[in-house]
Amino acid sequence: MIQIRGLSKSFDGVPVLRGVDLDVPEGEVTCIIGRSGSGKSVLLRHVIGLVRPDAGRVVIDGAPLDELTYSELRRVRRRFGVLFQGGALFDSMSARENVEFPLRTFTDLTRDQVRQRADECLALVELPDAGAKKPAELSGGQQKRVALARAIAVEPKYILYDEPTSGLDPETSNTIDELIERLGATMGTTSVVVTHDMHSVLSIADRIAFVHDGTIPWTGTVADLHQATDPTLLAFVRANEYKIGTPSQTA
Amino acid sequence: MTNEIKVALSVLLAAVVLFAGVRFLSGQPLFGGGYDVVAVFDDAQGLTSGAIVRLNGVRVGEVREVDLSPDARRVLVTMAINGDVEIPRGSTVQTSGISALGEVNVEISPPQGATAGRPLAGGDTLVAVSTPDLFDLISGESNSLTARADTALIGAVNTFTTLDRILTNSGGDIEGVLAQLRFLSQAATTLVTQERGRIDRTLASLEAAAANASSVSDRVGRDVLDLSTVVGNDVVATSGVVRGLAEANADSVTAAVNNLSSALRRADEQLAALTVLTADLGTITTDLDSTLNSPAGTLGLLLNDPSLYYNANAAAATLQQILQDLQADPSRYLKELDGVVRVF
Amino acid sequence: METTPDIDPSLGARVRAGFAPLWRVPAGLLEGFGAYCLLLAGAFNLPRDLSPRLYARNLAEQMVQVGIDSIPIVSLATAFSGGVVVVQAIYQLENPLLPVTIVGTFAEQSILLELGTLVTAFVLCGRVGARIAAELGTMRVKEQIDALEAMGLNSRSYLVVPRVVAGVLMFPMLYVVAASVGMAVGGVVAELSGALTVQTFWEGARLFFRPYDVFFGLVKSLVFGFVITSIACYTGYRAEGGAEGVGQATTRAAVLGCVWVLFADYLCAAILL
Ligand SMILES: Nc1ncnc2c1ncn2[C@@H]1O[C@H](COP(=O)(O)OP(=O)(O)OP(=O)(O)O)[C@@H](O)[C@H]1O
Ligand SMILES: [Mg+2]
Repeated sequence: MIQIRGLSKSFDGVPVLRGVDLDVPEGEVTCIIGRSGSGKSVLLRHVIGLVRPDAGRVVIDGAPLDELTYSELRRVRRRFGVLFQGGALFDSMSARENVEFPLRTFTDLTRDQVRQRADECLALVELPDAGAKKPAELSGGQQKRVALARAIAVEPKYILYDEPTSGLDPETSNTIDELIERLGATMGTTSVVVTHDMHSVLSIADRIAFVHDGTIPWTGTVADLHQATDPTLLAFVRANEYKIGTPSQTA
Repeated sequence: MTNEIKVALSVLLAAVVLFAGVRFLSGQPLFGGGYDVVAVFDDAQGLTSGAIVRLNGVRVGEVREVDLSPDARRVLVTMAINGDVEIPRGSTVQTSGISALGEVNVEISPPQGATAGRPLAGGDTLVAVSTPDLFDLISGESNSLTARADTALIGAVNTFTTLDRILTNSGGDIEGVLAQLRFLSQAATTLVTQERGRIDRTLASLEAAAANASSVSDRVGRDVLDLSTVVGNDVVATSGVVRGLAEANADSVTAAVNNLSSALRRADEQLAALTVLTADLGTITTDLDSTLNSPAGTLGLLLNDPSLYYNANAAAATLQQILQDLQADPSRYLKELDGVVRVF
Repeated sequence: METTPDIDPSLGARVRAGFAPLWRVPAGLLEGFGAYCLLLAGAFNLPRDLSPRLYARNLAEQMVQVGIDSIPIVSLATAFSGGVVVVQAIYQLENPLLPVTIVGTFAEQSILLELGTLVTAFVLCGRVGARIAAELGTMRVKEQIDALEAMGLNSRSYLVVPRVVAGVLMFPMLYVVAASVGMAVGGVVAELSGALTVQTFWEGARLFFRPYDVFFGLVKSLVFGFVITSIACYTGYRAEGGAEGVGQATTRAAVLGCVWVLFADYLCAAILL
């Protein structure tokens, strides 16, 4: 259970978040939508304690992050898998080594088991042959998928996805969406997905949170979305649907 | 090749190069050790471990340890000598260099003449030269130099007395004689003030050295009984050599110092006398002045007697000679002072 | 009647603002030094929940990058400085009153005490310091350090410790390389110059050699290893703002590294000699 209470953050005097409240229920997929620059990535960074809020707090499984020591915080972070918006793969390692890294570091698996699990994860993101390549030799979308494989490798309790399908073709996007859904269904993983892609949102979201102007003015299910009246939300959703041009799928 | 192997190889290689390089530069054979010899010093003179040990000026090892003896009266200097070096029995050891000037090292000198028995082996002990017996020599009797100075000064006194008598009795070319006397007394005063400080310092350091030397020689005598026979032999041989060395070296030094001090003391007294004399001469002159102008026949006679003039002149020349001698001495003392410094 | 002079209430603030630029530089330096200390303290407070294998693997890799990969450049630099020392010694000390062995003595003293460490350190400021700063700076701006943190790793320990320890362990090895190459080339140059033979050169080198010189060099190189790598880690770790930030971090690592190496050199001499 992730609880966010009254979270505020300014950068150089410019407020980005101003009192965000959000509950992420366990085992569900929560999608965070909002316009570019609205603070979605900043919000995700708060969730794992990479940024210290100016006010408010984040509580993970009952543990308020601001009250934890650094080593306790690190232990909380190990329940998370994080897919950064830019992938954040380690340049010095090959794709396979990137995926193996958390496995070797945090699990007691043997070398063979680690390799097997890494292959498995790379296959899940449809990159079974990319293991030997360095991140620089991969396309942006491929890097993103390797990073996704790395995030899910240790089967964490929570996975934070920052735009998992941006830059991917619709087909691969669908695969990733299915993967996110399946992880929730089979492993009970709690997912937080930041995305602009309304197509993904509609297909995977159990709950939707709309970030606007430093707050979350609207949360609800996909069904609620169709009854929503918030003009900014509607503008956002409509713009998206128009851009995708697949309104039929939303039905 | 894994990273671990690369690292291990390079570090091991570096360690080997380091070891070999240090041994090579230390002048030690790459393999095969050396042996330790202990030298007993009275005063380490700022010697530290790592200092170089030379035999006849050739590097043969280094100082491994500098320790105080348990009773804190002596310094035990452990020297690591290279394996292929043989140090003759009876060699003397001394520090060289002064810590204030930079490095203090150890200098070993083989004994003069035939070597006595086997060379030194590991664990042997050498007793360092700290110029024992010098004190005795320094406080010994005077030699010809003192006598010469004495004679000279006594001569000077005599000369003055004669001069005094002559002057009292005569009215010769007194003005000229007086001028010369005044010049001489001035020169003497300048000389003494100039050299005084330097000589005083020399004397002080020599005195300290002498005190050291006497305590060392005392202890050397005692320790002969304490040490084992082998070591004892070393000590006896060493102190024999030491005595010879000190005698050879110190003779002139001691004498020089002794004489210098007494000569100066006397010179001082004489100068006081000289001053009084000069003052007297002043009054005499005024007296003479009035007398000369009187028509008395004897004085007119004296005035025209050339022998008197020459006598006075000769007396002044003698005094000048004495002062020149005195002036020449300090430079010789200083030369010998140099020798003293080297001994320590 | 006396009037109290009008004091502009904002005067104090204006004065303070006027002096602020003066205060900013020392404050920035202090802040930087504090951050440097905190980074090292945080890094060397090793997390106990991580396997030492992780550090061992990184350490081996860093030791190769810091140490072994630097051997060629260090050899090259000290080969030239060894040669230059000998040429200059021959030129400057050409004097019938001085024995020719003094060239060897001079070379030994300057190479073992100063050049072997300082030239090596300057070269490695560029080679090692800049590389570490660029690497960590890139990791910082590309969110890779955040990724490490997000996984629950202590990124400071994970990144800084192997690099600094590798520096401390490998710099003495590089000093041995530097000193032996410098001396060897010095000997060759001495022979080629015709002014003295190799034998005379080595004789001179041995004349005043003391193992403490080498010990001093080793200690110094160890200190320099720490200074260079830790400063590079600091500037790299604090990089921000993309490629430009990485560039700044790299420059700062090289410049600060050189300055602090000089300072550490002085400190070592003051303490150990
Ligand atoms: N470290 C930082 N320093 C200064 N400003 C920052 C920093 N991080 C984020 N911001 C600012 O916070 C705002 C929100 O950034 P954020 O990355 O959260 O946007 P976002 O919602 O993720 O947008 P996008 O959908 O384009 O990724 C931006 O205006 C950005 O300028
Ligand atoms: Mg973002």
